[in-house]
This record gives sequence, structure tokens and C-alpha cells, in this order.
Amino acid sequence: MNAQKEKPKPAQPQAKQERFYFPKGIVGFPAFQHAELVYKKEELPFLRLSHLVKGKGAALEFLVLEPYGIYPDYKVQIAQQDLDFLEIKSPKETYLLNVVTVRPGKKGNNVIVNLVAPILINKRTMRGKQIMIMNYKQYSAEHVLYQKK
Amino acid sequence: MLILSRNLKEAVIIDDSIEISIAQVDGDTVKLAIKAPKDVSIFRKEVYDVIKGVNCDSAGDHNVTLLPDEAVSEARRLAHDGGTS
Repeated sequence: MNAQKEKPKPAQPQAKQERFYFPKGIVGFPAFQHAELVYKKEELPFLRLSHLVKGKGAALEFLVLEPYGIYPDYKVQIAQQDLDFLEIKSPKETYLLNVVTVRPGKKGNNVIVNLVAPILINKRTMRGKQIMIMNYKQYSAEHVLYQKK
Repeated sequence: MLILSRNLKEAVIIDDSIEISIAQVDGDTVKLAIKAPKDVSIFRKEVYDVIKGVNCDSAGDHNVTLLPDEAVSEARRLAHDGGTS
């Protein structure tokens, strides 16, 4: 076999892409199992969790947010059952994403964040689950991030 | 719907693997003890309904296109300032 010169590598796509697997889907969407995280520069820090369906484009998307930059005091207590399910041994190997909703209000669109049921992902296995935090009484499932004034 | 009567400390078994027993009864409040495999999700129904409702509102392209620019600015400001509280 002839040695070939190494081909130049294709340019990295601009949008960051990470693929996850949700064995149980997302609450209310059991088929939402394979997904990728994408972002658009103009939407950051908001990200999109996009459902991957074989042979189709993105069928369904959730708008999500990584909480820690925005809510530095946000502390979640995670049930042992969920840690076991995702085989999480250290907080360092996790991603946490909160589901964001745009909801029409009286003066315009409001943006709310679900702080009660974040999506927890094991970075090592890339498996995730939407969990209910143990300290759910401390937070709102409909926390207002932005309200049109 | 199946309706069963159970006394305190009595249990039901669902699908060979999920055991639900009556742990305590105090007036209107009944405490349930649930033993289930770790891949079984258990939610309080009213909280589940809220999560599902919020997820339904969040899913779909319309949500992204409705994201106000001011909300993006606000989130960036919070991230830059190190948060609200």
C-alpha cells in the first residue's frame, strides 16, 4: 500500500456539539433518547438540546441553560437512586442543564427556568436523566429569569 | 382503575419488582414506602405535572424563535456579574 500524505483535516464545525443518551427520555417525552447539545453564538448562554431521530433532522428541541454562571448559589441535592442510575461518582463528572421556557406574558415574552427538575448528565458515559432534586422545596419549577417590563 | 384496601404496614407488589407499603397514617396524610429498581422514576404527581407542563412549553422550534434578545442580554449580565443573589 502506498503511503499517502495526510489529508488536511476538515475545519471544526462552529457550533459545539455533544451527544447524549437519555435511557428514560425526558419527562413527558419518553422517546427523547438521543440528543445533542448545540449552541448558536447569538443565543449564548442559552443552549439547545436537540432530539436526534434516525433519518430525520432535529424533531424536537429544548432550550436549556447551565445554571452555575447565572445562579452561583444554586445547590442541588441528588437522590442516591439517580446517582446510581447514572453511575456518577463525583460531581466533577457531571453536566447540569436546566430547561428554559419562553412564555407569552402581558407585555411580551417572559423567560422561565425550571430549577426543580434539571437534566443531569454523566460526562464520562454521556448518559443523562431529568431528575427531581431532593431539595425541590427551595426552588421553583417556574423561576422567572426575564420578564418584559 | 384497580382499587385495593391496605392496612398499616401492608404492601402491594407491582410487576414483581416494585413494592409499595403503607408506612404511616395520620389523619389525611398517608406515608408510602416505595421500594423500586433504580431505573424506575418516582415523582409526586403534582410536581410531575408541573415539570411535564414546563417541558411541553419548552419543546419545539417556536420556543427558540420567541427567545427575546433582552433575555439573552439579561442572562449574559447575570453570568458576567456572577449571579443574582
